[in-house]
Amino acid sequence: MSTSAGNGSLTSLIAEARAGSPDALSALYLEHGAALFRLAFRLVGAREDAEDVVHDVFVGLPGALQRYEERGRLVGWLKRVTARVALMRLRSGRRRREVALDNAAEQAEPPRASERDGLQAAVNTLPDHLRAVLVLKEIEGYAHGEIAELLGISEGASRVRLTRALKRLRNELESGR
Amino acid sequence: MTWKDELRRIPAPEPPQDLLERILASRAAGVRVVLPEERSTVSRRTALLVTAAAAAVVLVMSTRGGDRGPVDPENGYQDIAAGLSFLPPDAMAQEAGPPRRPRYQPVKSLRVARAHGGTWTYQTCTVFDDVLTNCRGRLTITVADARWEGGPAWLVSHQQKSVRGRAPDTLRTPPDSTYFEGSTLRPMYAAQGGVKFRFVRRFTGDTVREALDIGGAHPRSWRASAGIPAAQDAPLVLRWAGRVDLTLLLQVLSLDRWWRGSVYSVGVVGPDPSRTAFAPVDLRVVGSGRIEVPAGRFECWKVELRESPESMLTLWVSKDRGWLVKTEQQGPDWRAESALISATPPAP
Repeated sequence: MSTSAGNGSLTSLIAEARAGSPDALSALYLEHGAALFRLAFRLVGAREDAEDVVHDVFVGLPGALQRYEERGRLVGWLKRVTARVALMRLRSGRRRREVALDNAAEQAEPPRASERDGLQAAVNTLPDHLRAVLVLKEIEGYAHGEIAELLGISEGASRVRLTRALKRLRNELESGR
Repeated sequence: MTWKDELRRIPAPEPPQDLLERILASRAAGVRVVLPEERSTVSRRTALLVTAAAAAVVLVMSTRGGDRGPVDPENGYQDIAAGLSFLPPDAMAQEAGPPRRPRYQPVKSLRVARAHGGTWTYQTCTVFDDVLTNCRGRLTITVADARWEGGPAWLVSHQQKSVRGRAPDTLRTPPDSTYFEGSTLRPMYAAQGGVKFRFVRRFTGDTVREALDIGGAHPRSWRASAGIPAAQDAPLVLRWAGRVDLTLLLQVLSLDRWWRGSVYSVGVVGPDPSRTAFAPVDLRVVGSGRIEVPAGRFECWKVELRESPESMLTLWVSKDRGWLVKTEQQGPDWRAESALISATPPAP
């Protein structure tokens, strides 16, 4: 089953998912799960947290779909829901990278030189509030208005945060060279 | 290719193979998650204008006329309750409207044989703006074997003190005693107070009855009761001074990496039936690890506690005995940590 099929099949798939059908949920996961996982990972910065975010999104999806009005593309709505769950996680400070847990020993090791020099490492050095705007704007392509709505800030604040994030990124990359 | 293009090409990992399986297993097990709703399309500016207008109306209304009328019995209860430090302010300010539903399946299987007595003392530090640290609060929780109306019970009491340098500790809350039923860990009788006031709650199968008696020059008494939600043998936790006390419950849960469950907490009923005294407490294990606190080093489960969509608390619970070792809560510009500084029986 594919959500990229005609509108009729997508509508019936959504209706089945609303009713909690495991097949419909599986189909939606297979279609969109990887993209949502990548988005969650980029926002929360840790694989296990991204797993929890996507897990929660799909477990809660039948309930959330009751409020979905089928305007716009489903993937866009799913991404907004995922971003919201990931951002809630960031706000509540529940990321696992903050505390010494299962992988505490690995986290204690200094990063390898190749990683330290990379763009990804530079992105990871950004504080959460700046990284979230950078990821949503530059990687996911959201408009500042949408980011403002997702983060609960003004459009101006979103622009300022992006500018600061890019400046810090530039400094980080230059100091790493 | 610009570095912005490179940014979009940063690789991200693929989801693990078993994630879909775990999602379907969670749903099959009855786990339900309420996802955040989309915000209203009303602009922030409009919302601010509406809020400002409402604030202006409230200001005008509150400053009209200098004399207050006689105390309304219902508001009087709120006034009295709000003025007493032992009543959790958040319980008095619960939103009206439909009560929040538990996020997970109710906690059922308890290993009650694991419950044990002892004394646990925690120090709470609050850090503001990553700079200003305040470590003045100290909480001691005592659990003892007891009997209530002829049956086995646990007696739990709390002592919250302010610690200020070399000055003697100041007791911040009056003494309290709660008796919990031995096999279900449901409260049966809870009392707090002393000469000036006394607040007593009695629990029967499906009802809580509370009584507040205030002495002194202007004695007053208030009575209220409410039906307890959930099954009659489900565990209940008490809200105490704005927090839920999980000391006994955590000892008897069978935590594992994917454990999750919900219990109801009991706050203050008060006189307003539209407010609920019972808030679900959602618990979920999110990791494990070894942490060090002044009382020792512990292998712990890391547990998320959710009392409302906005309120998150992280707990570290020792794997061996179910002790609450540390809690952490984070706000926009503050962080509060409570760590176990001593325990009797002593930590292994």
